[in-house]
Formats: sequence, structure tokens, C-alpha cells
Amino acid sequence: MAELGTVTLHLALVLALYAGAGSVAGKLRSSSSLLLSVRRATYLLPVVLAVATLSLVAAFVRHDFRVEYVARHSSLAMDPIYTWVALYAGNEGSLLFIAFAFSLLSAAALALASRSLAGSLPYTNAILAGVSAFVLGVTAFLANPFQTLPVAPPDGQGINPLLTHPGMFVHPPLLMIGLIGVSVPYAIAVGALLTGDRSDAWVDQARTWSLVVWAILGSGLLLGAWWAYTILGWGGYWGWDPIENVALMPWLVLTGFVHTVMVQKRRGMFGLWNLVLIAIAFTLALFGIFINRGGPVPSVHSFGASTLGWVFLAFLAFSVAFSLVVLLVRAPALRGTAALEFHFSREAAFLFNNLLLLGVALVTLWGVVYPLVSQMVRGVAVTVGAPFYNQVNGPLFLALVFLMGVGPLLPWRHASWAVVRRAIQVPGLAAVLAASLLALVGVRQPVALFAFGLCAFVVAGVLQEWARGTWVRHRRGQNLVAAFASLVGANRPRYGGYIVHLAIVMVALGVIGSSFYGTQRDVVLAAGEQVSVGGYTVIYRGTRVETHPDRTEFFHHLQGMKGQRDLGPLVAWRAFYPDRRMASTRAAIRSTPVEDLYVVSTESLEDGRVVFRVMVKPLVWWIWMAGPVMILGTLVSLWPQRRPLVESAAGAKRAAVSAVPVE
Amino acid sequence: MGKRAMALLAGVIPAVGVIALMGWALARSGGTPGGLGIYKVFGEVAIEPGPAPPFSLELLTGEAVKLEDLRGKVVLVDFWSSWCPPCVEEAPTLAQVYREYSGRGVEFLGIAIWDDEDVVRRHVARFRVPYLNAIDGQGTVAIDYGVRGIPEKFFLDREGKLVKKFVGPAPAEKLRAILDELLGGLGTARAEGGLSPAAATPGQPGR
Repeated sequence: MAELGTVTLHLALVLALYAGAGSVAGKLRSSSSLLLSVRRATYLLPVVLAVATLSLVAAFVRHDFRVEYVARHSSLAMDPIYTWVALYAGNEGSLLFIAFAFSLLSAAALALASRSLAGSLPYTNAILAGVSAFVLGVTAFLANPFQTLPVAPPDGQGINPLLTHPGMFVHPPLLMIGLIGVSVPYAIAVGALLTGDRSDAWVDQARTWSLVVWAILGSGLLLGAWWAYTILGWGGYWGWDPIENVALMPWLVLTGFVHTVMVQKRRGMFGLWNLVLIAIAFTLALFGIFINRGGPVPSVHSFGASTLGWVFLAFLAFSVAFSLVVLLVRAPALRGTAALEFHFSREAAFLFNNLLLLGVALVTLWGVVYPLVSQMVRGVAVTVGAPFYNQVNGPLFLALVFLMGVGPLLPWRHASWAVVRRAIQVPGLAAVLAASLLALVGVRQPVALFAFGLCAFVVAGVLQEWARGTWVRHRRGQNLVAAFASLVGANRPRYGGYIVHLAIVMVALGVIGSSFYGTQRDVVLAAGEQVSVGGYTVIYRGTRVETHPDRTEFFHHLQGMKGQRDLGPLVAWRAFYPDRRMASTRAAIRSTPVEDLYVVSTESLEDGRVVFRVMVKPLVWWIWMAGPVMILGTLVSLWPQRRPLVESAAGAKRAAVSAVPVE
Repeated sequence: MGKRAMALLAGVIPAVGVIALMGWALARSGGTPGGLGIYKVFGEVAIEPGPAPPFSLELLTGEAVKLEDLRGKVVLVDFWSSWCPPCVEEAPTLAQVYREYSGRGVEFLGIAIWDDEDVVRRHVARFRVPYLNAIDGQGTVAIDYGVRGIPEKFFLDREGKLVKKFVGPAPAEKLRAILDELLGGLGTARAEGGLSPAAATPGQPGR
């Protein structure tokens, strides 16, 4: 298995190098046979890498400890289901996984590209193959997961307990694919730029791929937050850890890009700006990968003992230089044709939204590099903590929520004050009403009231748009459901975007609710005892202990009551791993749209009593629910415009793929 | 200067700055960030000062220690493990600085996490660790303090407030500077009696 893996890994590297060099040569010499050949090489790459990846998975599943990487990241005692995903528990295997996933994305980008892009596609392919070749080169020569030991140890060292969580199946791959995936819209945009393609043919493709990557990265971030919430036992979901931050930054910039790229499509503006944005997103994604792989910023997530920092830094520097040179040489031809009208126009709102998003990204970047700056200047590395981010990014996020509400209500080009006033009347009223109602029921925090008001503003704005559009169609004779469906169908990017806006409001609700409100109590309970927190009563029924070779698991059985209402049984799980001297917890969570009851056991005392931390966290439910809504909105946005909307939900996936015109 | 040159500068300067900074930091840390949760480089983590989370631990000597017992003293709480190289590396420094300050209203409390008792005892004997040491076998205190890796150090002032957080192995002169600051900066040496730490919500330390 290990031999097969090494061979296919090297073969993949050769293929990627060929695809990269061949694309450029084929384009320059206008050799269609060479171009066809490199295309095939690009399609072959994921097949070869699938073999390599599967041989590593097989080594894990079969406990082949002769493979050093397997011995370091798994053991006989670990839960067999996690052997299937243990391949990305460490540096080497995750690089292989990234290479494989990226080769799939590259092949898909090439296969689905529209014919009008044929001229620039070789360059796009060359950039994609270059990124592939880099990752594969590092994997093959500096971090080979197939390295074998002279003698197979009887057992492996085991997986980090924190990784044995259902989240392991989706969160790491989504984040890794999302980060490397930013290369795809970048390669499409830069490919077009290199060819001197002044048409906006690439805009559709870049928009599609940036939305796909945006949704993947966003889902990965949300799932990571959920994972932290359920397993880390502190009831939080976002720690502003450097690794979280570096995944957030490209996502923020992509968010800006998917907005202004619409302006480019509709109004022919922001052409240069969009290229700059996608280059920044790409750079930040590479920066994220660098920080992840041996970057110099301490983080809980960083891969241990990786000496790859220099290699990734060099690649980052090269990419930045490449982007800058291409932009500077080619950019003058790209200036937007229409002048921006800085009044109340949708394009101005989009520009402000871009600036705010870049602002948040910049603040976050500053937070990530600040320990190093202070180390250099003052000799002490000071890490800025959550307070810094909350104070600086909090207001920026609120401003973004506000713009998210106002922007869509503004017409293109120029709006008179009268039009603006008419558009924001209802949402504004809704905001005031919501804030007043909340104040009446006892919400006193001014910032929270303001923030909730903003959320109401956005929701009312979206509903108003839907209602108005539906009503107009309804009056033309359609029934309300058909009217709504045809409204959404008529402008999917726009109405899909509104759905995403609602998802963002849901996240905002959860963040505001759980940051400003919530109660917590630490208690020691013997079986049969109970505690009351924030209107809930938690009764501790007893503990079941399960012993495994590598861990002891405690299932603390609880019963929750809200007032007199029985909420049923809850289980707070805790495991102790003696070999690793690590404890792992999983909170008992009873989630409702109003609030979460969150119980985590922190310690088992010798006399049989158990220490519990009981928290009531308002509105957190909405954050997790935002994930599916966000994906739904993205799918609606990507849905090809010319097809009828009346299709089953199952068709959504198909539609997302075929959103790119097939050759 | 032309527009293009301006744009070039606007793009190049920050990019080169960040990349150079990263290169410098890589050179300093030898290109390795340390393993999962092991801090090799000393650094401060900004926190909002607040009441320290209460704890109750059994010392290696068998006695019990509670947060309240340390009231009135400047306290350094050090989370460490015997298998963590930076922790071993700084053990002599910690012992040395403690000896210098122990008579001046300063207490150190080492809390070993993710560790076995006999190895911890061996470490304490080997480095003649003169200050309080306990094992947080269940990781409870570590969770309460929001420990993300080792070594992590928390400084408590005389009122039992969490005022500073550091990660990584500390140089002796830094420890002295912080202790001097906390000893000197406080006019009110007398602990305020009324406030029970259990009544206060544990602060959300660090990130």
C-alpha cells in the first residue's frame, strides 16, 4: 500500500508539472494537440490522486503501522469509524488530501468552463496545475505520508481525542477545500487577464466558482464553530484563534467579491477592483495555508513539528509577486467604463460593503500578525485576545448588517432621497418596533437593542422586496405561490442573495444573543440532586462508566425541566485518555430557537459526585440553522437562469453543478 | 509619481512587510511552531482583568489549596506538563525567581495537566521545585482558565483578580519585571474581605 501511494504521488506530481508547462507551451505555440493532451493530464490527475489517497485510507483502516504516518495518528484502540478520516489528522496526510480535493476542483473547473473562455483556459489551467504541483512537490519530497518505518510497531500512538468527533468528517475537509479552492476563481480571473480578454466572459465563471468556494468555506467555518461549541466545554463557538482567523479572512474578501462581481456584470464597473479583490482573497488563502503549515503564530490548530514554513512562505511571496506583476502590466486596459455615482446607489452600497469587509479582514490580519510585530518592536509577543476583535470588528459587523439591509433597497445608478425614504420606511419602522418591543420585555442593553433592531431592519427589507414583487405578479393573475416562485426564478442571483442575507441575520441573532445574555453556574451534584439555572432545573440521575483500552467514558445521565415541563433525558459525556493525559467532553445540549440549555461535566469527584457547568445561552440555535439557509441561498443564486424553477429540491445539487454552462 | 507606481507601492509595501515579518518570525522560531498546544516562544496574551476562576486542588504534599488561600499574595499560576520541552527548559528559571521573591508576598502554583503523578513528582524532585505544585488530573482548572496549550501562565493580583496571561517559557528578567510591577503597582495591599470569589462568575480569560 505504501509503495503504491508513493508511486502514485510522484506520478501525480509529474502530471501536474506537465499540465502546467504544457498549457503555457501549447498556448504560446497555438498547438491544439498539446492543449488537448494537457487537458487530459488535468483530468487524469484526480484519478491518480484518488489511488494515492485511498491507499493511505486503506493503511489506516487496516492499521498498517509500518507506515510511520499511520502509526503516529491512529491506534488499535481508536474507534474504527475515525480510521477512515484519520488521514487528515496530521500534516502529511492532510496535504495529500488537499492535493486530491484540489485536483477534483481543477478538473471540474476545466470541464465546466464555457466555450467563450477557450482562449484563456490554458493559462487558467497552468495556474491551477502550478498550485497542484507545488502542493504535490511538498508532499512528495518534504512531507511524504507514505514514509515507512524499518519495523512495524505493534500499536500506533493514537489520534488526538479532540478529533474523534462527528465534526471531523466535514469541518476539516471543508475548510481545506475552501482555502485551496480560492485558487479556482483566481485562476479563471487571472487567466482571462493574461489573455487580455476584455470581455466579461470570465465574470460568470469566476462568480460561480467564488460562490461555490464561498459556501464551502462558510460551511466549514460554521461547522468548526459548532464543533467547538459541543466539544470544548466552554460554551463558546468562536475563539479568534489564528487558524480560525486565517480562514475567515479570505471568506470575507470573497463575500465582497461576489457582490461587486454582480456590479461588473450589470454595470460594467469594478473590473479592476474585482481582480484586485480576488487576488487578495487568493493571497489570504495562501497565507492561511502557510499559518496552518508551520507558520510562526502559536495556535491550537497548527500542525506539530512542521518544518515547511519556509517553503510555504516562499510560495506565498512568489504568488504575491506574480499577482502584482500581472495586475500592473495588464490592468490599464481594465478600467471601468461607467463612473461611480456616489449618492444613494446600489453600486455605492456595494463599494462600501467591500470596504467594510476588507476592513474586518484587515483588522483580523492585524490581530494575527500583532504578536510578531510586538515581539519585534517591544521584545514581548502580545497576543490580542477576543476583546480586541470584539471591540473593533463588532461595530464593523454591525455596519455591514446595516448595509446589507439598505443596499438591496437602493436602485442602481442614482436614487433620489424620496426614493430612498420610501424604500426604507417599512424596514425602518420594523426596526424601531422590534427594538421597542424588546425593550418592553426587558432587554436593556443599548447595543443589543440597536443590533436586534438592525436585524429586524434587514429581515423587513427582504420581506418587503419579496412581498412587493410577489404582489405585482399576483395582480397579473398568478396565484401567490406561483407568483413568488416566478419572482425568485426571474432573478435568482438577487433572490438567492436575499436568502443568504437572512442566514447572516440568523448568525447575527445568535451572536448578539449569546454575547450579551446568558447565565452560567458551576455546581457539584450527587445522584438525585438538582440545580436551577435561568428557569431550568437539571436533575443528575447517575453515571454509567464504560472502559475502553485507551479511554474511560463517563455518561452522566441528566434530566432537564423547564418550569414544570419535563424536557426528557440529557447525557453529558466525558472521556479520559490516560495515555494522552487528556480529557474530552461533549456537552449535553437541549437546543430551542429561544435558548440552549448547555450542561458539561468538568470533573468526577472521588465520592461519586460530579461537577457540572450549566449554562443557558440564548439564540445560539439560529447560528447553526443559518448553515442550511446559507447553502440554500447559494444554490438559488447559482441556479441556471434559463431553466424553469419548478423542480424538486433534489434537483438543487444537479442545478448547482450545471450552473456553469456545459460545453 | 505615476498612478501605476503608486498602486505598486500600495500593494508591495504591505505584502513585503507581512512576508518579511513572517520570515523573521520563522527564523526566530527555527521554522517550527511547536506541537499541538506547546508554546515554544514566550508571549503575552491580552486579557480583560477579572476575578480568577476559583479552584480547589490537592497539592503533591497532600494538603489542599484553594484560590481563597492565596488571597493577599501576588500569585503566578503555571500550567505545565513534565513531557513538554519548554516547560522542562524553564523549570530552573521558575525555581530561581521563586526563591528570590518568596519572602515578598509572592506565591507560585504549578498545575500539571495531561500528566502522570509519578512523572510529575520526579520532575519536581529533579528541579527541586520549591513552590506549590498540584495535578489537575481531570483538566477542570485548565478548562476554567481557558488553557489552550502549555506552558501557560496566569498572574493574579492580591485581590485574587486575574490580571495577566502569558504563554511559552518565560525568561527570568520578564518574570521579575511582572512581579515587581504587580507588587509595586498596588497601593492597597490589604485584601478586601467581603467578596466571596464563589459568588462571582468566573472571568472569561484569554481568547
